[in-house]
Amino acid sequence: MSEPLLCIRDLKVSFRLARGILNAVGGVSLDIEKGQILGLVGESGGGKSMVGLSVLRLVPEGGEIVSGRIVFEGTNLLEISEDEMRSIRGSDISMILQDPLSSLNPAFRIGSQIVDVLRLHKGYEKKEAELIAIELLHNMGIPDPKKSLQKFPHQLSGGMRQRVVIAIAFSCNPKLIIADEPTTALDVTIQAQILRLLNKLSDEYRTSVLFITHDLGIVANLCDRVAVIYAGEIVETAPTRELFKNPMHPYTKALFRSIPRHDRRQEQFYSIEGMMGTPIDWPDRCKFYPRCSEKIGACGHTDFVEVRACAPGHHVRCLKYE
Amino acid sequence: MIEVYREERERFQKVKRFLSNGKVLFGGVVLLLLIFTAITAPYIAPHDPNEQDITATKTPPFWMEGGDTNHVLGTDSLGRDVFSRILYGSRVAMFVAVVGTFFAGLIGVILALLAGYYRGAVDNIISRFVDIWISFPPILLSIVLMAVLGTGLTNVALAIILVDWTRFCRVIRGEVFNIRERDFILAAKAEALGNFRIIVKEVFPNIIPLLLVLVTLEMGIAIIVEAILSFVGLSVEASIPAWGQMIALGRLYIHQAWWIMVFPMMCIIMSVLGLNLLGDGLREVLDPRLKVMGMK
Amino acid sequence: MSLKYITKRLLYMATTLLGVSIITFVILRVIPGNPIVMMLPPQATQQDILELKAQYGLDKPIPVQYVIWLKSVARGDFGVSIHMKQDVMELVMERLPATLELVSGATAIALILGIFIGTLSVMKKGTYVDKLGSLVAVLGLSIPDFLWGLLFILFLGVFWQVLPVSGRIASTYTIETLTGFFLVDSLIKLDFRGFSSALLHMILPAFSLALPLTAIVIRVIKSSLLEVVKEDYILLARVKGLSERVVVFIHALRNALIPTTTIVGVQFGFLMGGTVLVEIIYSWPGLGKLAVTAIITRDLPLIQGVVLVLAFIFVMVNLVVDLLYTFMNPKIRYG
Repeated sequence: MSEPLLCIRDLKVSFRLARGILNAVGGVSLDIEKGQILGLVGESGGGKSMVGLSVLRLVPEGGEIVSGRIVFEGTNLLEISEDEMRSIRGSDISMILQDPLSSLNPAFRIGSQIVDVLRLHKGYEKKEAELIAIELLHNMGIPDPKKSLQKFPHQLSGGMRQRVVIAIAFSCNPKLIIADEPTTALDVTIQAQILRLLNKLSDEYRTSVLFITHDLGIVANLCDRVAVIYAGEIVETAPTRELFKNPMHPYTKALFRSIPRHDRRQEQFYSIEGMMGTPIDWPDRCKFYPRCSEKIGACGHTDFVEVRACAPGHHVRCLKYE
Repeated sequence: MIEVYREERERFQKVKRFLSNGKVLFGGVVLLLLIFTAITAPYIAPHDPNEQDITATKTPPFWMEGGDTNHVLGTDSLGRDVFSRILYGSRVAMFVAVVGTFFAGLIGVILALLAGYYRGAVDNIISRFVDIWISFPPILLSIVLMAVLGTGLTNVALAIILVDWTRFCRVIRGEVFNIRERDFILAAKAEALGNFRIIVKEVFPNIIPLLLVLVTLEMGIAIIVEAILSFVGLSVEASIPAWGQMIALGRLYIHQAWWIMVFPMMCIIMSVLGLNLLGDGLREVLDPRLKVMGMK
Repeated sequence: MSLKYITKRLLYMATTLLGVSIITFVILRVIPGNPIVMMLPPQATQQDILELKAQYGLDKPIPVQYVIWLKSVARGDFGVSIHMKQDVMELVMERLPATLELVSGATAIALILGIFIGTLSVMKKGTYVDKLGSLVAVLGLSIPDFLWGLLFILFLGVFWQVLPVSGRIASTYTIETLTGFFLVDSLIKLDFRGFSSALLHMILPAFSLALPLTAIVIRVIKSSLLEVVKEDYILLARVKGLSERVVVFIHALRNALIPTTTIVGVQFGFLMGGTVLVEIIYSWPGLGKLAVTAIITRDLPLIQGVVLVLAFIFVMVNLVVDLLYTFMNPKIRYG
């Protein structure tokens, strides 16, 4: 068993606000193997984006990675210098953001936005980099790549723009890509195209992907393994098929129940009662407790719920399985 | 009972917020000082500001060699006490600032309310008028107006009013546009309240914060305009001490008696600085948008 | 940039200028203090006054005077200065380059200083650089240009005599005027001593005008940069591994410059009409000084000429600024 490519242990991220300290991420641990696609599933505000940003040490202002380890290819990213981190960003680890319109700089042409990464990390000359960029765009399925280099972001459609963003992400052959809800802002038909593209590229380039989403449906087709995050904590991790066959954590089960079914009519749409709230509301004990429909007696009293394995490769954070 | 208590607490907290802002505090103190000096000048000034003393011309401030504690900040070329003249000068500054700003604001706000609320033809006419008026270089306009009206304190205020009303108009009009689109206006309209009532009761109260900020800025501008007019000799009558005039006259003796010019300069700078900071601070306190650190 | 838009703008400009000229005309005719009386010796008789009045066409009703003036302006004839006995346009054109050069210099200084300080302030938020930037901004806004001028003269011209405080160039030099811009003309002729003299003379007045404008630039740059920096594409730039300097100075600034140039452009227009005091203080032979002299001597044709030219420049600058905005914003340019 080789070392996982990325190994996050006990990551804690806090925000210092006027009203107090908010723990956005309260001890997340996960592993990504080489060439693996790991899905990180959870609802908005649950901390999943923060995990992604932490790997690149780009936590937004006011936030701070308080403790934990993020080990990438044997090196703890939280201990290296900013300069060293910068050389990793864009070349070894890259990121795809959610909204393609705002991810690209509206004042610069697409070509220059791809070329600059190539020149920064690989040292190409401008002409060389442009040729590579054309090749990349072609690989992404963008028609007339040479002309597209000269275009501005607002001149392209949403799907095309996202392809450009993906092109930028893959341009330096990264080992890991963090995809933060890359299809959420796109039409459903385009979504499928982009997902297929991502799948193909990750195979081709042998890139691992941390795929962050709130949509379990996407996860089914794309990811090898899934981690479910709730209120800043991982509550369940399992290989995809296993998770779908055998969800353990009440939250995961509730998530599955709330997916509208396409195959038969529903009397009611299921939604999980209550709200996740913001970090300021999160107690130290089980955070899903207020909304859980499967509570047992100990749930209200135990201060810290540990993660346990309940099947090979399948871990849960729930008192029911202790 | 609880409602009353809650209101009191809210009001108290609002006041606390105002006072806890350093800029508001500083600017507020400056403004109060100005008003105080303006009112009490005749009582606290050690000398008559126009009293000339040919035996004691161009005496330096008391801490310099040749200085005299009788004339704390020295005397000018005609032997007049600089300190007293400065105190009296605050009266001109305050008169010009208060009167000029008030009426400029009155005209500007009324026109802005009309233009912003009714829009259409009314707005077109008013805006066009403002555009044309603004294309006239403001300093030259004020100088021309003074040439037309003749020197004198009230004329200075009048010139300021005629030049600066456009700034009020433009800014407030923009704000009225914003407010007009807001829900509670639509609701009031839906209730078919008369337009006039809507303007007075719903729109106007919402422009007050911006108006306050503008007023403080304008007061500073008015003081500066008076100084500018003094420089070209078109300000108040020679018998009235004004800071701008003191600077203009003092400039001639910059080599031998720099204090004649410097002290009124400092007064203007402090006053405008204080007023600007007050405006800045008010803007900070009154801006309802809270700054929250981004949480994804 | 459709033709329709441009023609609409030009029409708009024309009506604005018309409005300005009418206002000027009317105000000046209401003026007490007769220019004619000022020109004649005290022994002049009523007859003399009437004759001279007629000669200058001041005896006709105002609307008629206006139409006559308008017709000659259409021909390019702005009349003759009553006081200086020179063609008005000639006088204006003589002085215009001096003011233009000064204002251009001031704007350049304000842009460079302001962008630099503003950007550094944002990059090092909270540190002493930021505080210093805020201080400069507040002082710049609170101290008007002529007071800066007096302060500079006091400290750099009187107490420590470091820089010249009067005129455009040392009286020992003459510069052959080709463009009227001393800096340009002296360079063309490779007259380096003349160039340095002109430059030195320009420093204090330009800085006096520049500092209040710098404060404005700092404010605008800070606020627009702070907005821009929150955008996703800045995050992506960092994700790419670009250095903070590149992220801010190239990616962020490029977008923040768009509103900045608009505001600075408008301020340039205002500044052209606002050099009066600085010119007086530094004895700078520009339009401002000319205008004041004209007003004091009630020189009607000259006042009209100067005001109209300044209004024209103001309106033109606004047009250029709008065009510049569409040019700089790729969304509009390549819509």
